[in-house]
Amino acid sequence: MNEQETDGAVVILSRVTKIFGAGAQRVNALDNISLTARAGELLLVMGPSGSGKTTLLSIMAGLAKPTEGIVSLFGRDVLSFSPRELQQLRARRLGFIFQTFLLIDALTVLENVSLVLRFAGHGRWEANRLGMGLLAHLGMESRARHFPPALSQGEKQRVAVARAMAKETELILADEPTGSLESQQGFLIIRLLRDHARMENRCVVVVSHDQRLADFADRIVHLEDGRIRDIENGKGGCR
Amino acid sequence: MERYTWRILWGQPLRLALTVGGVALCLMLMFFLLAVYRGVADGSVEYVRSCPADLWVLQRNTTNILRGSSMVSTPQATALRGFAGIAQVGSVLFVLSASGSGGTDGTLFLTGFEPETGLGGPPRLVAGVSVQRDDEIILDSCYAAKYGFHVGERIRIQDWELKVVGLSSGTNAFVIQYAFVTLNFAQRLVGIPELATCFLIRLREGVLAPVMARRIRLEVPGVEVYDRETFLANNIAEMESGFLPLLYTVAVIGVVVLTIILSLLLGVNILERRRDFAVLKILGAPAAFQKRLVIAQAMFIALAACAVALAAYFPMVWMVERFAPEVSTRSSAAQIGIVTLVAGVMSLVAALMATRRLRRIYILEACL
Repeated sequence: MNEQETDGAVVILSRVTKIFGAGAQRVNALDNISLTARAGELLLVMGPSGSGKTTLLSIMAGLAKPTEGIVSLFGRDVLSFSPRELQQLRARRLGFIFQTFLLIDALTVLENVSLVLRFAGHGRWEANRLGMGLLAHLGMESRARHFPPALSQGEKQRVAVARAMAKETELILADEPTGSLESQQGFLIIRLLRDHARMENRCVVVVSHDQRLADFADRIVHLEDGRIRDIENGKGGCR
Repeated sequence: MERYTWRILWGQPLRLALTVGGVALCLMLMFFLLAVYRGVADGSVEYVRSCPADLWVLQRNTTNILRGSSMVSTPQATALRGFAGIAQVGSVLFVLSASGSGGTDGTLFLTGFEPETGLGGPPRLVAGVSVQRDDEIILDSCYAAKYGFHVGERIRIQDWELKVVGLSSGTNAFVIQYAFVTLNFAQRLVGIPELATCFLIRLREGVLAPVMARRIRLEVPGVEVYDRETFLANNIAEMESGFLPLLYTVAVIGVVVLTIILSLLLGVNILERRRDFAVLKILGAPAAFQKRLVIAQAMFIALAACAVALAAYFPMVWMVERFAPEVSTRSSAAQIGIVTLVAGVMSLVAALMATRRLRRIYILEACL
């Protein structure tokens, strides 16, 4: 099952296939996927391990190229972006959240957040001010001068969320953002992402196998063996 | 960015210390080479520079006294004394001679001069008096320090024993040191009376050196005449032609090796931090930003190494000059500036070489 509507589309995948390896080693990570992610929605991609969720996310972000098909990001074929344009896209319009957080251990919490603001074009002072404001919003103000290894898993994930939301991000791609968190922390993170999508009219794509997140999604895509098995409307965080 | 750079480097304190120490050692070598070069350059020509002669007269086709063989005869000096406009003529004979005392053997650049004119004698005395008799000698102070001679002691010059009556400075040419004896003694040593290496001439006031030089060339057969500046320039050129290629070779090898080693170390730092760089790429870090991180590391290492090298350099020079007095060094702010500049350029080149590795770090490595 595939869908293809372009109103408010941020990312459009058209008949995307991704193959790894060749011959006996050949793996169809994604098989003929068509999908649209729109502004203002939290799109949840669910599926068991090996179903192609992370590959889908990488392709949506332009981090990996499809073997076949077209990926349109902000209305433009992702293959038409030059390396510099892709870098600027990541610096200004895309935000990433990873299960393993991917914080830079040699930078403080504030530096981790303000760094992306510097890449987005803010000056040092402004980046620090905005970064501190965001950390305060996430209850991390007191940890601003600490280094990531000194943080709990939940705190690290909040820093990663702060980093993804720090700039005027139009598309946030989150890979198992609650995977290593206990439920309360997980709910806090997913609520933040949902609110970001709703209130800021941004697009948030979350890849997870955590069933609890279904209650917060606007739409849920079920992946299985690299194919879309089903797309359903979520409850959109009614609870 | 500076903090990140500092923390990355400080995260491996032993490696940082070894890297800074290694670079500092190479920089010290450069400081030292430059200082030795300056010391040798100045020391080799100090005798010529300090000599009060207006004209130098040598055998034709001899351009300098460092690596030139000139033979003239003292009767020619007598003829020169008859020229109107010449105030003073001094004959000088240079002889390389073995020397020693009590089991220590060395080699001296014996300079036989006429005590009555003083021309060609020691530029400066730091102890004792000038020679007056044929059994007296003035030693270079570095030579005396090296072999433990003092004023009043005796030194063997081939089959003769001479009394050390004075010590001179500005007479250390690094590979050899000057010593001063009477012209008579020097001629007796080589066994050829009337032999001299050159004549030193002082002109009367108002006499133009080029005019007198032309006249001497015309009237005294088989000689070449140089004014003071030309002869000094000839000797400097001769000294540089023998020493500079060696200096340049050592310096270039040092810089190249150091650049490569520094580049490899920076490359290892990049590879060890490849996850960080992959994360930076995912976050949209411009390529220039990533390069600046590496360049900042290199510059930090270079600056730290310069500081360490400078701090250790002067005590090292003091030690070297204490244990090897003939090694004459001269340091200047310009030399320090040059080496610091070279260190900066070298670090920049090493960093740029190392940044090529950034291209082989792929974004998805962050997720591995």
